[in-house]
Formats: sequence, C-alpha cells, structure tokens
Amino acid sequence: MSEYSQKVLQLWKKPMNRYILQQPSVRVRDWNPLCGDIVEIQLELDGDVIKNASFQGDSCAICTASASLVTDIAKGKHITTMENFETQELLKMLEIENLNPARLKCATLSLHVMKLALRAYKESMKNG
Amino acid sequence: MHNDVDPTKLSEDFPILKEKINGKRLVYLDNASTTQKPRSVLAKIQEFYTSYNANIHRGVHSLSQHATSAYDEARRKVAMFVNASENEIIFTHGATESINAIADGLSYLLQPDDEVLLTVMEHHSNIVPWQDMQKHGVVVKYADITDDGMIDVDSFESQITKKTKIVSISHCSNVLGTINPISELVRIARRKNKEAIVIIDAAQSVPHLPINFVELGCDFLVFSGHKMLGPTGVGVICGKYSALEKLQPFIKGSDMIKEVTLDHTTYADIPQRFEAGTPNIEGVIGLGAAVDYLRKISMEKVRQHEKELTSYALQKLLDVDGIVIYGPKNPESQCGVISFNLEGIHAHDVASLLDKEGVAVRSGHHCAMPLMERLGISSCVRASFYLYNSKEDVDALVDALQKVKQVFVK
Repeated sequence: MSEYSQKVLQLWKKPMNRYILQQPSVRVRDWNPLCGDIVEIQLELDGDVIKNASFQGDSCAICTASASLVTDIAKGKHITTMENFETQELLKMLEIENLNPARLKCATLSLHVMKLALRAYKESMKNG
Repeated sequence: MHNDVDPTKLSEDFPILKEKINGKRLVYLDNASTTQKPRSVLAKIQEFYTSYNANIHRGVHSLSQHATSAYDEARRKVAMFVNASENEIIFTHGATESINAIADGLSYLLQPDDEVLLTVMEHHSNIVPWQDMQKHGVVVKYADITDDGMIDVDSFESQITKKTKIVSISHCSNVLGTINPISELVRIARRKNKEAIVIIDAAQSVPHLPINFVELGCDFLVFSGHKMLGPTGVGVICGKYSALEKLQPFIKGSDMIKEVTLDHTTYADIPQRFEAGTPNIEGVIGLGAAVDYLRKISMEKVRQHEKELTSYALQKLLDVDGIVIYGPKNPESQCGVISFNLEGIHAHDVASLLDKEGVAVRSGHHCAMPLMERLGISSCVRASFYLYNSKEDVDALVDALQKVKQVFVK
C-alpha cells in the first residue's frame, strides 16, 4: 500500500493547519472535478514571506495529508521558494511511491492551490 | 432452478474475468460504468474485420453487401430487444450523443420561456445539453426526489405546465439504482400537457430490465451499447416514428441524403437521415451480438438475478459498521446499483484500497453533481452488478471493506 504510507495516514488522522486564519492576505480554493477533492488554502504574508498558512477542504486521505504538509512547509518561506517547490519533493516527504495518475492529482492539488494563491497575492500587490 | 442465471457458468464466457488484479481475483463491480464483453461479442467483431470488413450502404461488391446486411440485421435485433420497429432505431456513438442529438434536433421547437423538465437525479448527460438552451431563454426545471432517492411524483406533476415542451428523465438512476415509474410519469406528463415530448434516458435500464418501448409510452428512449455487453462507441436513439419526423438531423453529410445539388439537399428517409458518415459498423454488429447473448438468457432472468444479488448485497452491506447507504435500499424498486460511504473515510480512499483486493468499484460524483448536492455529499462509492456477478463477489466486497476500515482507524 505504497500510496497510504505511514506519513499519509498519520497526517490524515491528525492534520496540521486545518483551520481558518483570522485575517488572511489571500485565500484560494480549487477542486479536482474527477473525484471532487476540494482544497482551500489561506495565507498570511508579510511582504514576500509567508507568515502563516492553513487549509480547509473536503478531500481524500492523500489530498488531506498533502495539504497539511504543504501548508506546514510554507510557513516562514519566501514566496519564490514555494513557487519553485516541486511535486517530487512533496511525494518524497509524504513517503509516497508508485502513485497512479488519478491519485497523483489527489497528492498535488494542494501544491497547485498554494501556487494559485501566491499568484493571486502577487497580482493583488501589483494592483495595489 | 436450472433455468436461473448461473453467474459462475456465465463468467466463463467473459475472458477478462480470469484476470488477476494486484494478485487477486478480479471482482468487477463497476458495471454501471461499463460492462465486460462475452466471447461471442468479441468473436463477432473479429469476424467482421477478418471476413467482411467494408463500408455499408455504398458498394455493390460482395463485402459491402455482407457488411450492410450484418448492420441492418443488428438494427432488427436491437429493435426487437426493446419492442420497437426497425425504422425507429438510430445508431449513435453512445447515450450521451443520443441525448445531444435529440436536444439539438428539437431545439428549433423551443421558444424563450418554454420549459424543459428534468429530475435532480439525472446524469450530467441529461442536464448539460438542456442547460445549453438557457442562453436562448429556455427554462430548465427539476423534479425533486424524496430523501430515500425515489422520484417525488408530486414535484414532478406540479412542475409540468402548458409551457413544458420537453420532459427528459432517467429510467434508472446511475447512482442510486432507483427504478423510476416511467409509465406512470409518462401518463402524468401526457395528462398535464399532451404536446410535451418525453425522453427517457435508459442507459441504466435497457441493460438490466425487460424494456417495452411501446408500453413505456415515451417519444424517445436512449441507451448505450457498452453498458449492455456491447463494444464502446455505439449508442441508440429509439424514437417513435412520429417523434423522429419532428427531429432535425444533428450531423449532416454523407449517407444521410437522398439528393444533393449545388444549392439544395434532400434528406434520406428515417432512420438513415440521422446516421451521417461511416458509422461504427463493428460497434453496431457487436451490439447485435450482445443483444443475442442477453436474449438467450432473457431479460426477466437477468433482472431476477440482479434483484436477488442486490437484496443479498444490501443485507450484507447494512451489517458493515459505519456504512451509509444512499437510495431506496429496496431491491424491488432498485436495479443492481448500490452507493455508499464509510463514515469518516473518503470514497476515493475506499475505492483505492478495494482495488488492492481486486475489487473494482467507482468512486466520486458519478457524473451527477446536482444529485450529490441533493444528498448532501461530495462523493460516494458505487458497486454495480451484472449477470456475471455472484454472491461470492458481494462477499469479496464486504471483506475488502473490513480491510479498508482496518487501515483507516482514527
């Protein structure tokens, strides 16, 4: 059961950062139409640094674990670090191997939403 | 009882059922999505390509004549299967295309403020083509369902008005398995508005129930070949001749014309005018072979077998701790489709782990997002049966669900 690693199950049981931020700088939601996973990511930024990150959603264990981890990694990081964060790195941290293409989308949805959120934040900064 | 369906014996006819999935026996419970194909269907397709492959309705040469007769023969078989006339059967590429062809071909009859009535349990295929008409001012309405997944007949009746031009409803829900009382609903529709055109999405019923097009009383009945042991890429519009006369061709070009001049085209007769271009010949011939297979067993026996299996599965599944089953939970009013969730575990996780045990089910929204919303869920797991499924398959599903629960202990 390589996709359900101990790490995935542990994060599914006790997800980190699953709450609503009081005053997020940006919040973005997206979903996977194939399975219905929904993830919303909220970020609090100070300039180009992510101060706090949280998620909410209705999602499978892999997606939940991934969102939990992605938000945790993001805290304290510079925007560009997260923009360049790669899928393979995320899968490695989740200890996932041999994911089929359908489930890969579950694992990567939160990273996709994180990048959408950062883009939205940068747009809002540019437009003042 | 020797006349009953014997799934173990029948499964011998389906080579794929011998496959091992993740080292386990394949337990194929995704039949509402697509069914497996018996040897006789596979052989018929192979025979077409190895013995008489040619285009139909065109050549005078022997191969073309042979292919044309086989194609026409399949049309007769399909017509007989649903008790329709030969010229009431149109081949498409699937039930989705069938509904699109009807919606497009009737759209010239709809004016702004005219109404289309659907139900909330429809597959997206029977929602999206109609919603597309909203941009021309057509109003799309939905009959509600009861909490146990039955059609709310009062809601259905009260929403048919003088403005209702189209009523398009599924015979069996692809998620809940609910068998809708189609004859009654057609009668109500006719009583309230005799002009309304009634379309039945029979993609989930023609493969599993005896169907009599004349008795149902609808104008159009659509279904897919691949959900009834046939190949993919072939579907059917069964339409009353008088209704087909109202339908404009959806696709235009070769093979659907009587005459073409530089400034004018005369269409061919019905049904040929609705089958432009080279059709899916192997698909149609394969579907004919699938119909032969089903008729040999008899649809009454197919239904009886699935009813017994559904009854057994409901009993066994209701005993699983933490399971929530959606729909009627009554084999009398439900075909062989059971949707459920395990409390606290996402449908996708359940399906992934069932797959490890060789059990193939569908998970997700099942192309019925409005129904999911009505049920208050975002996804569920669906097990759907066919004539080759046995009680052992149900037992394998239940055992695998217990394993899923062991992995996902909080």
